Amino acid sequence: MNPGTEAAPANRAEMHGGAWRPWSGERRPSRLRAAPIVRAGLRIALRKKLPLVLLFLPPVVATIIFSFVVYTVAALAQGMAPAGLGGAGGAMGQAMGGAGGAGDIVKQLVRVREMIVGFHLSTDFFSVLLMAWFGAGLLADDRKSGAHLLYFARPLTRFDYLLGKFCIVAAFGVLGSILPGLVIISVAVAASPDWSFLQQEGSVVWKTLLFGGAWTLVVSSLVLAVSSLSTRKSYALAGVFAWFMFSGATALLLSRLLKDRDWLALSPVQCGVRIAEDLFDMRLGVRDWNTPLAWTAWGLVVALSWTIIWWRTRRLEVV
Amino acid sequence: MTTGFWRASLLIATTQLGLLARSRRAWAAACLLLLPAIIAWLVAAANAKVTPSGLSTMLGWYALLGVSVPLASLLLGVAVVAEEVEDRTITYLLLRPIPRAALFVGRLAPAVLWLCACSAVGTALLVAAAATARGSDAGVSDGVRLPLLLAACAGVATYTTLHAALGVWVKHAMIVGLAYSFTIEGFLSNLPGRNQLLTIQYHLRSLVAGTGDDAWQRIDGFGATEWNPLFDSGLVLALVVACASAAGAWRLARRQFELPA
Amino acid sequence: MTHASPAPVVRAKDLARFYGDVVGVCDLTVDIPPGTVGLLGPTGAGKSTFLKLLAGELKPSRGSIEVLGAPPFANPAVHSRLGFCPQQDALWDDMTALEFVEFLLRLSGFEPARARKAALVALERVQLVDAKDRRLGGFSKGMRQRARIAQSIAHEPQLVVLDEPLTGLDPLARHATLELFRQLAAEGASVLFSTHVLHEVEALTTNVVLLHRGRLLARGEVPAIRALLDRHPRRYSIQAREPRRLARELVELEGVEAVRIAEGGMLVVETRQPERLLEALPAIASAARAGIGAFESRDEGLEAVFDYLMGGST
Repeated sequence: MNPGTEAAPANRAEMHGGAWRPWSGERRPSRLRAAPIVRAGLRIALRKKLPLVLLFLPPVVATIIFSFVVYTVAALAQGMAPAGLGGAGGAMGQAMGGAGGAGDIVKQLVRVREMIVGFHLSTDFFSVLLMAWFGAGLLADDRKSGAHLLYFARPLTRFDYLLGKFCIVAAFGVLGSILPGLVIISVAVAASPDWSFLQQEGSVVWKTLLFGGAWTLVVSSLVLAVSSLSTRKSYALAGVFAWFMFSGATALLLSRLLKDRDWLALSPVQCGVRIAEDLFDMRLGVRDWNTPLAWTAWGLVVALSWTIIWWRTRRLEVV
Repeated sequence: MTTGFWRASLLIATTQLGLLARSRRAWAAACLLLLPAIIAWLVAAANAKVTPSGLSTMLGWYALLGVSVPLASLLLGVAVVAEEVEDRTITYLLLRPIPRAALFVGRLAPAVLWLCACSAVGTALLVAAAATARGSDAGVSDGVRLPLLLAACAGVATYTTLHAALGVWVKHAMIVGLAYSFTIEGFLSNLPGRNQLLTIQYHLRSLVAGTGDDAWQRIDGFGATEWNPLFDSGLVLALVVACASAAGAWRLARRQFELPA
Repeated sequence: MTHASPAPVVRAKDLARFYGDVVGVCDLTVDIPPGTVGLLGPTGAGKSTFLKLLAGELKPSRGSIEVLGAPPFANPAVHSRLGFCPQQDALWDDMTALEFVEFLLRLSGFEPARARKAALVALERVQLVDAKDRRLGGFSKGMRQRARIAQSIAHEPQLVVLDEPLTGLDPLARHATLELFRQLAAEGASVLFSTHVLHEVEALTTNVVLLHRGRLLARGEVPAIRALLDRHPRRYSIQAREPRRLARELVELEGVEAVRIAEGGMLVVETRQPERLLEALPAIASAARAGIGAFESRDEGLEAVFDYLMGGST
């Protein structure tokens, strides 16, 4: 007998257990709980067309120009006149060190690799712009509008929330940093005789992925950390640029003042140059400071950024 | 009952000064201006070779004038009007019986004052920290100290006014200001040739060149650059301040702000 | 002997304000007399835009507006006689309530001692005097609303304009605020306030301006507008297990003009004698074994009132 209904007088309220049925299904939470955050974040980011056009235009133009140059170099290495250059191919080929021999082709392929590295370093600035613009408001705006309360009212862990936000920024990093590099590599592969670029310089592919991925991780983490410390997107944006400006100026200044290039490790951009040099086995002029220090500096930036993000979002949860 | 321009400006300025002292943004700007001093102190303590005048000129030129002054001014200058718009509190000020230009002047003056005070303190601390360096040279002379102080104060006044006017004219002033600081002040000012004349940074450097001593020669390209005469650069900076103030006040008197509910 | 009607405090002529392609208000020609006037309209009707134009926060895209005899935009002469309480929940959070009201009074030209006194009086009137030294950032939503009202009345303006002033207030504070508006009117000030809740207006005034989709829908006394409504039959929705059987019975009832079955099997009844329907429905439903599940009036909402006035139907 149900003790709750046994002695209930006639005029007392009753519980209608039949009308209210406790849910008895099986809860199967998705493993990709961050996916809706990523989808929504990207959809919102892609809604405003003008910033997209302005921010993607430089990397796209650079990709086209570099692709053309890479194609030209590869074509000239084979003694062909690239389409668009008309009959100038022969003269240009000679000007670029002659064409036709196997040794020349190898030399030109090395030049193509150098161009790809140069492209990476020259588009780094634009990828920072992209990630900063689209990432600066991700945590700051949530904090300002109180949207984090909506997130944390759902079966979503802090890890899911941060993973979702990170993926949004990283997506722009991939689009601005890794994808253009892969496009240029594809052009180089297609333009080289018998895909010789892939055979000779195939490691450039994974090196591009590694370098681009690491750069994206560093900048995304930094952007999110600054965003978590700010209450407005504009503050976060200013903070990111201030950090890059200050770290760059300080690194250059101290390395010059103290005549010790290790101080360049203070700047993530300079670390990027050093890491690219080492990874792609190239000489860009700043070889006399150690690469592990550059990797360590990047690692420290990431670790510090995530410590800040973790600490700040813990505070978000209790607001 | 209406309130006159100067009285309204003064009222707004005094209230704003009180609010500034409580504002995180103002303290962040102050920290930016103190950062070169902290770096100088760390370097002086860590390295025995670095000299006082070398440390003060390099950090003063590159870190204080090149980075801290433009960024701190951007941070506070943009807030002069744009922050009120962003916070949607500008309604209270615009609907009071005061000339709208007073609102611009009244909010700009405390920001400039605050930044001038912070840059003076920042410069003094930078010089003091550099003076503790153990490398041997003649020490930090007045030819380093005073030009740096003059340029830092002139810099914050000019940049802040410019960014404040920008905040009235454009919607995303912080972003436009950042773009300006990067492309014009950061990039163009370091290109060789007469293009530099278009930047405030060049005129600030001209103030240093016009009043400084030989210690500044250690800066790359300092001796090779053709600097503006001191008076000309001072005049250019004063004109920028006057024109930006007038443009900001004029626009504010006519502009309507669509504030979301 | 003739009575000259008092000069309107607000005079709008062909007033229009657009936000790009979006219409805020359009072709609005209206004179608002002194006294207490309620500005009514559903969300998006253009109430806030009209009040912002009236306060001089926005400029008209077309047409003109005069407040207390002069265009309000950037006009200190108008602003010295106008008090405006904006809708947005924005305050200087670092200031205390007293500092906030006092500062704005100083800007209105009050001397320090007089500003302090007037600020205390205003805070007393909105029952915030006990919290006068607390930071606005720590105020509840209702307290923030009252602080905004305090700044709008502190300088004893001739016209007080309030945009949704009762939003966020609890019932007691709402009652007190309505009482405050009554006092202001009794002291000779004109009060113009916007709301989308009809009974809030009815509690205070019979004089209303109705806006809908940026246009003037009606202006005048509430009884006259009610009379307009009474020309239309009232509509009720009934959800029943046997709607057709119930419809057959209801169509015979006195005053019922139409019965139809809407989407989802919902029965919609139009009647000119709602009292008769309400009285007879239980018996009819029981006799027809219709099994009524839900019953609601479709005419209570303001949107329905506007639809009637617009000649549309929902």
